Amino acid sequence: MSEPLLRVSGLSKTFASGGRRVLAVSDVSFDLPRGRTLGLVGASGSGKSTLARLVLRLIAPDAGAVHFQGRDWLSLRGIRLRQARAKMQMVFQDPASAFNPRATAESALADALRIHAIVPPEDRDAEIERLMDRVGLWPALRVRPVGALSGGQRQRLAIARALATRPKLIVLDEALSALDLGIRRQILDLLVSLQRGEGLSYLFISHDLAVVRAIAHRIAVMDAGHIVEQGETETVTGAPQTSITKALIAAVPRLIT
Amino acid sequence: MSVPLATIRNLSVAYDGETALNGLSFDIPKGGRLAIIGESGSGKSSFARALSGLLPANAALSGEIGWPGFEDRQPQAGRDLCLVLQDPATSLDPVMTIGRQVAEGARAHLGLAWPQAMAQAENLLARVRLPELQRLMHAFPHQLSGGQRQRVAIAAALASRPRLLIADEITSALDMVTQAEIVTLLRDLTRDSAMTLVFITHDIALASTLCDRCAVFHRGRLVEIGPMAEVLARPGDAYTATLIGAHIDLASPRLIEHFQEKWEPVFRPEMRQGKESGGER
Repeated sequence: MSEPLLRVSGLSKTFASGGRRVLAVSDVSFDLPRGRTLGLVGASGSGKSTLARLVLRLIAPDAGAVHFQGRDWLSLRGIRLRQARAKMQMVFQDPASAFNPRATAESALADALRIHAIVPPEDRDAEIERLMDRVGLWPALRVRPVGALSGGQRQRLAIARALATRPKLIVLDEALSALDLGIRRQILDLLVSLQRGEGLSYLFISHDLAVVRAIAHRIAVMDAGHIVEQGETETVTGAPQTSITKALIAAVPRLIT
Repeated sequence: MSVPLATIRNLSVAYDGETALNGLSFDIPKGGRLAIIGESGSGKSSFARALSGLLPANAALSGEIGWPGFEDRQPQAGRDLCLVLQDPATSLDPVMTIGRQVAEGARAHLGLAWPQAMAQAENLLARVRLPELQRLMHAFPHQLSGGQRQRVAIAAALASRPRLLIADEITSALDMVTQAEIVTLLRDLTRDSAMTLVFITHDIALASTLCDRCAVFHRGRLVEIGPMAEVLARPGDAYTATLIGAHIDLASPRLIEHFQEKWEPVFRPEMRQGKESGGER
């Protein structure tokens, strides 16, 4: 039996907030195979982003385990951690805050290539060109400051930077939520094409069930820190088992003609 | 033909020489719910600010906004017309209680004394369906969720009983379930009311669930305007058709091919039984 790329087992995290204890993520388990997308959907405050941060090791869990590429991801240290980190990248909602606004597009990519020593210095230039081309950014944008790019261009650059380290998994946390619908659709198509081309896996987090349905092979629904429903995409959206999922379905606007 | 609320004639707005709105001309009918559809850079927020008389100092406005619905006098922002913005965290005063915040409009514009204004605030907070009013009246904005804050902003806008409510992307920072609740609230608040709603959004499907008329903005220009159902059924402009085509709902084709192989084999046997369906052990 093949190992999943990512295996999350019994992950929990409690925050202390103003004397209260908030169970942000409670006993969450899922598997994510290679080349597949798990959509994680839920309302604000359901624990989606905390779960993303736990998986990315940006915060430490109180309990549970994460296995990434067959290794105990949470116990990796030093060079091993750095190597594994290159294989797990992230794209967040607001690319404006994910970049130094005065950096240029090419320097943002060059940093990622240098830090992770992806290509020899003499090949860096060609690699930047390849990455920008891969995400549909014109070469002329190379020298543009990140702050002068449009929202869609910045999000493409964020994806290019994630791709720079040749990852196996990209965690996308509301990565499309701030974009116009037309741009959103283009980025979705880009993600699908990258997945096909490079065999990437995505943990795709969104409060928009319709967008998640379009791109995810499987869906997990979160509420109050728990995964309340998990299954094949068409099963979850077609025959929802919980009131939480039903509310998410009812909330999707339909074109009323 | 009834008198329109507002007549917009050849309206243009520029910031330091950069055009944001370019020669808009249309009427806003009295009552009813008008959607302004536009993406980033369409000029929709400049329009909201021009309409409310709240353009920043570096904006140059030309053309005319007439107000036959206000007997041709200039409506006062905050009293006759109210603007609700995307981020209530920045429009609410962080150090003022929710009760005072909502009461202030009623006190300033309706001339009520504080006790009456506070009673009015409590009514308004109930109208926007906020829970636990006694506690909430004394709470501060940071203690509320984003959806609750947006309800407070709507209640504060309603306090002066405006004839025009302008809502600029007020649901785009909210999750989908909260967004649907806010749209239902706006529908109910405007159903049996003479108040006109101008609902500004990038989401044409969302607008279609609320509004009866629709104006589409693109790069500072009005590309079309008409009854919502007609614009959706027979878009008169290629740009509108693109917007409709970009919409994704639960009936849209999925973007990934249908995989024959099942995902299940990688799941542990114990997950398939209990945890997968219920998430509980």
